[in-house]
Amino acid sequence: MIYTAPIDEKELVKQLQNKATAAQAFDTLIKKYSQPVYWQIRKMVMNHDDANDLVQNVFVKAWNNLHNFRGDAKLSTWLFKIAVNESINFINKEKQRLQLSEDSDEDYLLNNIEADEYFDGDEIQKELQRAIAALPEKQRLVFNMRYYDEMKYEEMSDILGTSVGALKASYHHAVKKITDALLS
Amino acid sequence: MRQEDKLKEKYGTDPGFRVPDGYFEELNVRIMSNLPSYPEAPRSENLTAWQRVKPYVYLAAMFAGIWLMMNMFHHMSMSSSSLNLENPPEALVQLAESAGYDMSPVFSMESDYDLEHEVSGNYDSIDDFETDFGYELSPQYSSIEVGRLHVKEGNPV
Repeated sequence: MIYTAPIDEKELVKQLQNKATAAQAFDTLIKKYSQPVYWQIRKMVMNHDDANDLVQNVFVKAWNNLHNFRGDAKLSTWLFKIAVNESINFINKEKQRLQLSEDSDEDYLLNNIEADEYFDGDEIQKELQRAIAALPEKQRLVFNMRYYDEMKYEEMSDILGTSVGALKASYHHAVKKITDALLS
Repeated sequence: MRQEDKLKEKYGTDPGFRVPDGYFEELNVRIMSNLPSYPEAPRSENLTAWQRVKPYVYLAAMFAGIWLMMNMFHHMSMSSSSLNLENPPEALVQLAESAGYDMSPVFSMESDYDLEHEVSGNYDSIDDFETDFGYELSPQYSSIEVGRLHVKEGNPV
């Protein structure tokens, strides 16, 4: 039987949950969503090597939980949700391993960006990344999703489990803090 | 100009991150090679008929037990109130007769003071009491002054 990659998401979900077609459908899923998932993770951990490990973990986790995906949310939302959880857990574990304090995300992320051989931004881009690293975790997530990806608040709400109003407020605060730090 | 637009004007929307050449072309191959076998959904175990109905049987037994206990307490409270001397004497006698009770042991359980209090508070004469109860008082109670005795609670004469 020749496998044809489905265009329709419902059809893709159906194939993912069928043992006979799951592997090929999952390959399609990876091709479709690996880049946006990778970039979401990369902006959170600010390091290619960590992002590379995490994106693979996200898809392995998704594969292991295929039978739990009910199709209520979009596949991308489901994958982003796993990616956000994996990234937050990873950062917290790394901070523990390096014996950094709970609120030391900024130090950890700045070290990460300095050590990343695949960061080739100029001084201006580095300045913005430093300001983003100084934000609280939730505001950092919201800022990255909105500022770089222009993600809709409704989709962010599904991923982060926060109301649209709270997300708008978080983004507003994040933009204000960064503007105050960089433009004033 | 909005603050967000000012940021975008100066800093742009490129975070400056890069990936190794051909990274995304090979990513799916790397991920697919690391996947375990297809995960089977956990099956629900085959339950026997008894295992299926067991919770309902236990629930029914519990309600039956509660019903029996309530019934028993109700019966006990009815019996104890029927044998109380504060009930109308006619009812008490009727109950005692219908149940084939001998009233003398019941009265003998009462203290002298309680008996005296009951008789003096409710009857004008010992004869009336004896007629009502079909019970002849012992000669030692002949000194009770019925109808005129006023006693304070808990204070024997």
